[in-house]
Amino acid sequence: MRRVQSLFVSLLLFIGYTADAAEADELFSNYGSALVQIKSININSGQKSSIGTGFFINDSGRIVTNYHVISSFVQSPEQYRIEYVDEKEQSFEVQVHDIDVVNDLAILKADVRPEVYFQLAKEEPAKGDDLFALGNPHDLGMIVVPGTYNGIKSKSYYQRIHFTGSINPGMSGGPTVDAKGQVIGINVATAGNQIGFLVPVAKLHALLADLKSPESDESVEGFFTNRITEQLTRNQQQLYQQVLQAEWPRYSLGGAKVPNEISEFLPCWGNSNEDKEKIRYTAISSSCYLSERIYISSEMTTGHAQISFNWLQSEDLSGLQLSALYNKTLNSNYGRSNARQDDVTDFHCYESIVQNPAEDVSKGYTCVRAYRKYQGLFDVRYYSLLLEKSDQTLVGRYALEGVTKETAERFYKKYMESVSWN
Amino acid sequence: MELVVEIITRSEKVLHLVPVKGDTISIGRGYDCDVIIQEEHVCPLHAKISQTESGDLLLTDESEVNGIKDRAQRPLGQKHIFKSGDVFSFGKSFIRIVDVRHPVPMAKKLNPLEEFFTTLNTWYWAVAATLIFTFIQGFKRYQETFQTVTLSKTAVSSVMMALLFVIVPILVAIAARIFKKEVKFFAIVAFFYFYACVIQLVSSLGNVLLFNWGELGVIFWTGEVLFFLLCCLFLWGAFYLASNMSIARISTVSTAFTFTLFGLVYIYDSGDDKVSLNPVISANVLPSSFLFTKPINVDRYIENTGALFDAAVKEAERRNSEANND
Repeated sequence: MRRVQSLFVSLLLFIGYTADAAEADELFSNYGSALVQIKSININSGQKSSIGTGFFINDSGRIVTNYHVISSFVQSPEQYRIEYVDEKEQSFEVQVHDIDVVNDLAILKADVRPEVYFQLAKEEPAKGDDLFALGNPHDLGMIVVPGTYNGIKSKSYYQRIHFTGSINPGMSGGPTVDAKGQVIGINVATAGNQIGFLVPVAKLHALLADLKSPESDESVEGFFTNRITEQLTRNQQQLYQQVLQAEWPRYSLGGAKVPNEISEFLPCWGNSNEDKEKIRYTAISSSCYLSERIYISSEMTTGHAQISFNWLQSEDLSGLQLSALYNKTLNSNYGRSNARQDDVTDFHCYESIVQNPAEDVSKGYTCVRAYRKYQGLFDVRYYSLLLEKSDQTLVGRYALEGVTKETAERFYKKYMESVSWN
Repeated sequence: MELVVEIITRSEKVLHLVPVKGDTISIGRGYDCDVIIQEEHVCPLHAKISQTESGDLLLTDESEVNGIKDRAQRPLGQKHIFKSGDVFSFGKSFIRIVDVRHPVPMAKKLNPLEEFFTTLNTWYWAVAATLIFTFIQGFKRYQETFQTVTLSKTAVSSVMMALLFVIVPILVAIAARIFKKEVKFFAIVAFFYFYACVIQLVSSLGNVLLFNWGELGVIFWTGEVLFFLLCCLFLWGAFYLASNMSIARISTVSTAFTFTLFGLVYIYDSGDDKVSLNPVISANVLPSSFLFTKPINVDRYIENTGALFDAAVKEAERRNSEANND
């Protein structure tokens, strides 16, 4: 399961690829000068720390790229500066104007008035339409990659366009355009083998409609911290609003009733140990998770959600032996390790014996840690074990990243209503 | 004249004593002496004890080298009048000369602990303790395995474990040798294995409490105090069995030792302010038959977890202000 998950997240910073097409040549000659390379420069070393692609979208010097290309500057503005390199290999400093961390977008502002810039498409193309991804993979120079529009990736909460074509590291932030040269999406990620993902241009329209910049008395870092907090908070509100409003379908996992796919964005995967030899207990597991995550910095991601169940049963094992099995399951690592001490606090845990509305008794453990910069957001993990039956149990766990206290409480309540003995 | 000559250590423990009778008593390395001290710094005839006409005890130096010194290593003259119980230094040895009529203090009542350890110092107690420990280990191991394992394998590993643990009583016995304490090896073995059983029992009880009430303040602190006392008790026993210190001193030393140990662990734990990448819940659930507490409802649980959010926010503020001050 984790393999699939990891496929979707490789962000684009290196390796190259070339392609050719008649239209591509034309596109390139028309728009080449509107494409730039974006560099994040570490001030102390004077060297670049990340590279990507960007493109002009108007004649006043506005450049669009990915947030993750310039995230080092947003995280520590005093240690980095952002430059763009034009067609003639000339470098210019550029300001970061605004960001959308959830959709991995950034708007930069350069002190030029470009003659050529990209038009943003107003409409979605039809499935199968030819698209062209532009960018500078692996610092090799600007290239064009032809491919096909395949609609919005299914089960994608963040609505990424599925582009059949090779998007490679370094092309991040570059535009993918239709045959008319209008921007359909912004290159963002790859899952390998001709599967690329784009941020739909609609997200860019939304950001442009809501552009903000620091107040006069606000520091750049403070502005971006507030902006990220606000965007993450709103995003989790919308996501969990949707998840928690829906009726959670329930099904029997072994001897217990558990929620099935609680949202189409949290697809479930299952497993059991019945094919294994010399096993003295039955273990059936199900795990559902949101495979997308929100990139904050090279050391921190958020937005992940996971909910899993393990039903364990044995007629052969004694009560204490079963307890040892339960403990091993409960104590195994759960959830992703998504942040370090510069970003989060330590976990604070609480445990108790609880009765759910169906009057089933369980042991519950809740662990919480706070985000240091993004006030009001927490990573929450919950571990539980249904009690009272001597030969079986249900271990239920969930991990929610970057949620508010209110969301965590509502999720817990819904979880307790949805998990019970058969 | 009827005397007892005691050869003693610097701290006045008697190593050897010789009752002697006669008008003059000779002390030296020679085999013809009444009191023989086999030490190379003592002359073949080192000294003679006689009585003056007035009945005083008289020590005459007969040595060619080294002479006779008092307790504080001050040289005494050729002839020295002394009283019963005085201590002299001959070469590197210390001797005390006592008249047979020298008063002795009242007999001390036998220390009940000493009696206890003497009773314990039999092979059957040692074997019994080892067997009980091995059995508990075996039972524990068996109850902790949920994979397919043979009973013999569990038994062998428990026996191996018990054998490996013998190292502790052996170390205590060696310490007893070093501190010149009578080695009660069987008592040491029995004490150590019984102690290990008690630890096992206490930790099982602790697990029952944790399962029911979690790591509440009261349970946490009771556990810490109990653990401290058990640690003290172990050191106390080890010192008692391995040294000649008085009970008061053993108590002080073992408490101080435990304090230091706990202090060091505390410093080690709180030294780095690192965060763990994943939560450590240390779940220790038991079968439901060990459940004695009444469950709380969902709303109450939510209310209780509120403190976690507050604590996390507080920690974030602390870390942020520390980072700003750097």
